[in-house]
Amino acid sequence: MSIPITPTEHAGNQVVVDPLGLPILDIAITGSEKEGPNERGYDEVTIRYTVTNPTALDLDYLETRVYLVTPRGAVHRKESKVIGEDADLYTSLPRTVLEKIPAGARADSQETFWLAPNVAQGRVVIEVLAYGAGERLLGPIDVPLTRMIPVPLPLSGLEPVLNIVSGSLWLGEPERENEVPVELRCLVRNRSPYLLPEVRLRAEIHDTFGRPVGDMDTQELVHPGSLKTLAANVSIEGHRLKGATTTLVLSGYWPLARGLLQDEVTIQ
Amino acid sequence: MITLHEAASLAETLSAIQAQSVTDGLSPLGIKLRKWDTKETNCNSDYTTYTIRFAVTNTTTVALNALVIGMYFLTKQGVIFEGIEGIEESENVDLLPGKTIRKKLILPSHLSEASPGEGDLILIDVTACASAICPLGEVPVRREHEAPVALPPTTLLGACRLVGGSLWRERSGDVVLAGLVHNLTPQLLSKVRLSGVITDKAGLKVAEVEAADAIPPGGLITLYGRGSATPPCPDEAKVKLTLSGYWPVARGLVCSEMEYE
Repeated sequence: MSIPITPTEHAGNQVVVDPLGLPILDIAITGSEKEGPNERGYDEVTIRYTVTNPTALDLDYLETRVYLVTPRGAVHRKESKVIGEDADLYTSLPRTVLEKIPAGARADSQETFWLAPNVAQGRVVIEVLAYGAGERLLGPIDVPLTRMIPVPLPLSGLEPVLNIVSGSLWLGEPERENEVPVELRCLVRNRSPYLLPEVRLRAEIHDTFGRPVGDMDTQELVHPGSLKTLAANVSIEGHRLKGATTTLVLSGYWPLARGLLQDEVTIQ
Repeated sequence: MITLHEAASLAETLSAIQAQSVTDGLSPLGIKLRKWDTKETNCNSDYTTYTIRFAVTNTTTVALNALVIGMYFLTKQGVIFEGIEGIEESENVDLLPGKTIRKKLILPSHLSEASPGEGDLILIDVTACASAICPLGEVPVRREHEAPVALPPTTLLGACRLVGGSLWRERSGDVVLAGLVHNLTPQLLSKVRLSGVITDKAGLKVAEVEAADAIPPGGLITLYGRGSATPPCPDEAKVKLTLSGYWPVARGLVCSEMEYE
């Protein structure tokens, strides 16, 4: 049986054609160092590497994963995420120890592993993903005055990857005295071939004087080409909802470039 | 800014869905909406159920082994009712090329004022997956103080690669399995499973160990699983390992206005 796929292509130890057609980041291991063993008997092994951005894009949001697989098959993993500069975006973007990489520039980084002594070599796998991010403001939308009567959301989206297919906001049945749940539900469609790690919908509710009275937040992973429902709710004192409005923000991030390196490393 | 007035049209939603092509590289899948049953309200009238029947035809050239289904009612007020059948519920389908399978999903509705009605939309999204199994052979389970056993690197039909991994026994007697797997395709691998059957010296099964997860397109993931034997895994035990996986090969999306019979 054959699978209808576009295979990953390698040149040497590096992926040169990404299966999704993403631009390739050039990764190179520049060295390894070993110290120890420490008082618990472990060696401290540091892998140094560089990531070059050969694209015309300035890459702000980076996610790195470094694996070290020993000859006995132990898989050590380090995942590094640090937020990019634009921290005002509602999405919690991938965070990396790498600095942002401007077009054509190179960044240095490293990861440290604690290994059992006498591991002389290992297979190092480094994956770097660069993301683009965006957000879309929806609203303001009036909070409905009557319970269980939904108000539709605007059919908007996050270009070029996501659309809102349907959605609504309504007041639910109160579970506690004086508190009314405000319910939010939104169906989104991922139009891209990429896995969207975090699609986020955040709502802020303001009373008739513009004062914040509550907020709600939901986030989901959305598979390539598929649909997903985002749902959230918040309970607010009923009298504060008269004349209230909701501001919604849809946000997310998606891959722009990727690098992947697999190499045997001598540890000394 | 988009106003609510612009958003409220279901016809707009319908035409947008029909017009938008999704660049996911999958083959089209035949889906035909057969009928929806007249709504039935339970005795307390606090919710209503809707039964939707549809048919899925394998329009590809490979056998389909799982159908991941999402079904949605979209009302004029923007209310969404959904029924999801994930990979866990939809494994073990065997739909050969050209064959058709009939499916049904039942949705409850609690929002009586906004329940689906004439002219509302129904949306059915089906992702069909193929699968394969690759035996990795038999490895010994070493004693607790001994080093882990490395797993043999292998490739599952060009879809994913076991880059490395190991199997070891813990002090509790549990057998632990860990593997680093690389998705070589542009598709989400809906489920990749690294599993083993643990047998004693006489070849009798004493436990199973399994690690499974989805892997993003082109990405890597560490699978990690644990198997407990009662009593603890005996000396001279062995594990027969397999790598298996499901991956999407076709997708179908139908969107239609509701009509009651």
